[in-house]
Amino acid sequence: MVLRILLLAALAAIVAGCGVGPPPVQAGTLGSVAGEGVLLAQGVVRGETTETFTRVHAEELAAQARTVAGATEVGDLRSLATSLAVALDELAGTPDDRRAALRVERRLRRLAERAKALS
Amino acid sequence: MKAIFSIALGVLAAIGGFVDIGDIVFNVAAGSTFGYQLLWAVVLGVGGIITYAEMCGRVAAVSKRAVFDVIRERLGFGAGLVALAGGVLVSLLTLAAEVGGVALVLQLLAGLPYRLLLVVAAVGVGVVAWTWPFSWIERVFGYVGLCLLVFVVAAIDSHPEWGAVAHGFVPSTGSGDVVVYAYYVVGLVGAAMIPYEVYFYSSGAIEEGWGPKDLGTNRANALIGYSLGGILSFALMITAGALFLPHAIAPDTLGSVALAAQSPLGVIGLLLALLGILFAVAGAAIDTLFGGAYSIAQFFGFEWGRFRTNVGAPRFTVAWAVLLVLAFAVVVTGVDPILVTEVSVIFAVVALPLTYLPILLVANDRNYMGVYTNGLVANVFGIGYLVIVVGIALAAVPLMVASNMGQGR
Repeated sequence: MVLRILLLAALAAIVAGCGVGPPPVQAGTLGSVAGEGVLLAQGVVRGETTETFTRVHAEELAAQARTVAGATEVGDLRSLATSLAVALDELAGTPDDRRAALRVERRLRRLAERAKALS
Repeated sequence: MKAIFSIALGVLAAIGGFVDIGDIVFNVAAGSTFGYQLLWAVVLGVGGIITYAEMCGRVAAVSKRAVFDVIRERLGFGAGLVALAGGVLVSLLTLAAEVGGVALVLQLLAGLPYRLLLVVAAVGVGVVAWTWPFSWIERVFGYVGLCLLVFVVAAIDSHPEWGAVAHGFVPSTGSGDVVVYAYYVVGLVGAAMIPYEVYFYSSGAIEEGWGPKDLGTNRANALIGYSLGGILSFALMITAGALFLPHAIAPDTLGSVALAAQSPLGVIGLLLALLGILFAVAGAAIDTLFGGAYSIAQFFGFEWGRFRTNVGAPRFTVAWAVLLVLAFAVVVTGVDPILVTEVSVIFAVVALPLTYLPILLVANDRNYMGVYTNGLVANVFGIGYLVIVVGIALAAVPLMVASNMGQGR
């Protein structure tokens, strides 16, 4: 009985954790993704990272942005999430291109500001 | 000289082997959410694992009995079975998280598909468990796990506000959402005191044939090894607090953790962090695998141990093989290993009292321990920590639900 309750609670927690939360939480998630993307792009600009790490981690971050884009009902957040995913996909696609990374970094900074304004 | 060298090696292994995926996830998440405010909770958790690791190591060395042997005798078959079911469930979830974590780090290093790397991780863990002697497993993963010390350098290099860091060691109710704060306290203490560590530690004492002459080694491993291991937890939290909190970054992947070393230290920092995480998590996977199998074998009275061959302890071997297959089945469904980690740590907290109460009882039993029963200091800490773990065990699941797994309401 105790075990069953624990398993149900685990399931409930996992289901809750898989969601993306209300709009302020969604904006916070997007701000976090943008902030991490900035740090990741800076590593490429300075030549202080590996191509594989940049590609894989940028893809992870883009996937997080797409999850929010698919779940949110707020137009501004969907647009922001889509722009973030596009920028991070570009970083993932050219993980050794410092100039491209610099452009992406600037875009991500602007998107982070937008996320901050929406949260 | 040889004894000191042996103690030093054990301590090094304990430092490198202290951090697992639960510590990494909770320390980084806590640092990025509350800065340095929760450093005291790490101290609390490290104090708890030192107290009970020393106690169960002493019980094992003196009475030649490991944790689940003691649990069955002290709790009886019914309550002992509940403890076993809880312990094995938590070990299974933790193992699934660790296997998934190994695959995630391999992906960050090699860039190959995640599901392929899951197979590589599970097979790798299985091969090491099957072929390596106990001392190799304990030492190799512990030593390479020392690469995580790069986070100590990263913490210093990220120029935290040291006054705020010092203030973080003073217990407080924190600023911000009190429910989320309480959730992280429970998670940090739970991650440090996760039960499989004592299953593995006490069984390891028997694997290595400890007797009363090894009580000094036991005390040094527990006290120095875990204390210094706690420094890794501090470093993870401080780095996250200095780097992520100002940018409102809420990291929830192992790539984010590695980024915390790459950002201040460049590519060397990145590679050391990934290597350290890989070996710490892989080592913890094997500890958890054996921890679960030790529990089952000790509870049911099967022959067990790496000092026997795989064929010499067949039911123990089958137990860990089945646990590994089940863990792989859990994580191959595509569930996020980080999410599984959080759930496993919180459920580990629920199982803590049933693990630690029997150890405390036996450590006070003169029939088993003779002159090595608990002294005043061990009992003050032991009883104090038992009260704490009962409190956090009751609060763990409600806090997990109320805080939306630390994401806030």
